[in-house]
Amino acid sequence: MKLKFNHVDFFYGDKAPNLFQALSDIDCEIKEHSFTCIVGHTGCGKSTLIQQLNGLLIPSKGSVFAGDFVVSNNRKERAKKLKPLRQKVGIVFQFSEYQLFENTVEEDVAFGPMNFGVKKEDAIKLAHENLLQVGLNESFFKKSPFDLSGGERRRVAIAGIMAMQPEVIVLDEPTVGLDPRGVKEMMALFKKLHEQGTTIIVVTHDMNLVYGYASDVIVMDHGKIVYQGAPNDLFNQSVDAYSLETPMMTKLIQKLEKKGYKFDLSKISSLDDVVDAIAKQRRDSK
Amino acid sequence: MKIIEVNHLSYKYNEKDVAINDVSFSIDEGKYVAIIGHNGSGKSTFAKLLMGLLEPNENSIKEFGIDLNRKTVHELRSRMGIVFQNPDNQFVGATVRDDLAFGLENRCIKREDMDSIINEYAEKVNMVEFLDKEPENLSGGQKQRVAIAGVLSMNPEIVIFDEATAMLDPRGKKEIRETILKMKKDNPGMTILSITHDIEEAYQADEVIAFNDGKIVFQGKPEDVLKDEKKLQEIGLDIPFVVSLRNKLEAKGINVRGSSLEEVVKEL
Repeated sequence: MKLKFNHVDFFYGDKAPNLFQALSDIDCEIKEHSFTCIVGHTGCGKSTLIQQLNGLLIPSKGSVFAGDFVVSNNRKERAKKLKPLRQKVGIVFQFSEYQLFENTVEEDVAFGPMNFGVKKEDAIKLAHENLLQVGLNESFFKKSPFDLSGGERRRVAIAGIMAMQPEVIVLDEPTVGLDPRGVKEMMALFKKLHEQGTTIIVVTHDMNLVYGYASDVIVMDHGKIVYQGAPNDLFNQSVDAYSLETPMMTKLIQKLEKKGYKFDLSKISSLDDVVDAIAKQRRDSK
Repeated sequence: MKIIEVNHLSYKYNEKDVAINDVSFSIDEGKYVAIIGHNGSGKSTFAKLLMGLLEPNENSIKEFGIDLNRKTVHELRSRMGIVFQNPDNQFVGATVRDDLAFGLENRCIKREDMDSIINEYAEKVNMVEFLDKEPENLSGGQKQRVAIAGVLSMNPEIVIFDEATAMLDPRGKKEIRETILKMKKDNPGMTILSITHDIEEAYQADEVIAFNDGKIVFQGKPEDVLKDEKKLQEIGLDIPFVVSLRNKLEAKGINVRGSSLEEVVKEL
């Protein structure tokens, strides 16, 4: 599903005196089947932006196109029903572990599909499949969500969105507060979903994740998009201009380049590649 | 002097769920200690036990040489401070000034003395210009700095950070890391315990203690303990980027000694 923002403005407190413009003139496209990361400071409008994608927030000006759906302030243009869109574009919110409410894990995951008219036994089946996908086995199915650890609960929340079989999954800071192993497992899951054809959109602060996983990156600042393109191009420009953190790998490569080392960035995907290149160039120079 | 002594400490939330399993060790006065471990390894339970928020088994914790029990818990707690993870859960006042005054009022500080104390501690965390701001107008990092100032104004001898940077963005994380280092410089005698996932933060501490399944798996200087990639990965953690780079270079026969990226690159 192609996602397109067409000159979108968004104001909080539209008719109130404390009007706040969260988005201004957002005009961009998120490619089908991409793995897009959205980065920027706290308060730059990232979370506001993603909520326009399935009509949870309606643009104050301009429109959002999600496949055949139009989300717009103009009632004539706007899709008659937005509910089917919310099945196609699933959003996993920040700290989703606090958003579970059913008695058992399987019922919680089945809630979404049942809401869209799937029969209970089929929904439970879907729940089981997706729980296995996120790494929670049979022993979890009948447990209360409140007996699980934070990381496990977050997986349940993600399974809940996956069970609706969306074409696009949007995740708002899914790795915050997880330990390094948890982060790796979580990202591996999104990578798998991406390979299976789902468009993945991840809001994050962690530039090392952008380096390792994203095919596209969007940088936001004060409600505007200031960069959109390939991660490598961003890191090679001065990321300091957007006061983002440079990934450790980029820092290392830039420092080495200053010392005269040369790297073919298209061939470098891990620290091992960099070390190999260093070793080779040192041998050659001897 | 050993400021914290832990002797055969165990704690379970229920029969099945053993959070801390027969742990013994000690921490010297004036040290900055990072406590690392994966989610659910027992780190936060341990912090709550030290503060007396959970009740430890008998004679298992000594702080300042005094046994922690029901009789001593209030006295001991008054000598310690803790900064929690969520910046929004720790703000009680309507403004930064009110928030800092709250702790002082609880300690019955005279009103005329309060203003200067508030200014002094706001200055320590670089928040003077925000004294009359409301919490809505502060970033996560700024709120955490207020929490730190509030804790410092109580003159604690031990300060515990329970994943104080986990919910902050990179800028906020950096602010807090720098504030901790400054605290350390201003108060050489203060003992700092920081529970963290941030391996780069652990790398700047004097000492690292790693928890796994309610037990301590190692304790030592960051230089010594944060280089064993396999061991750290076994307990769900990463090694710092620089150490990983050094290990990989060494495997290729290139030996470097620097402890920061700059130093390592200089040697290449």
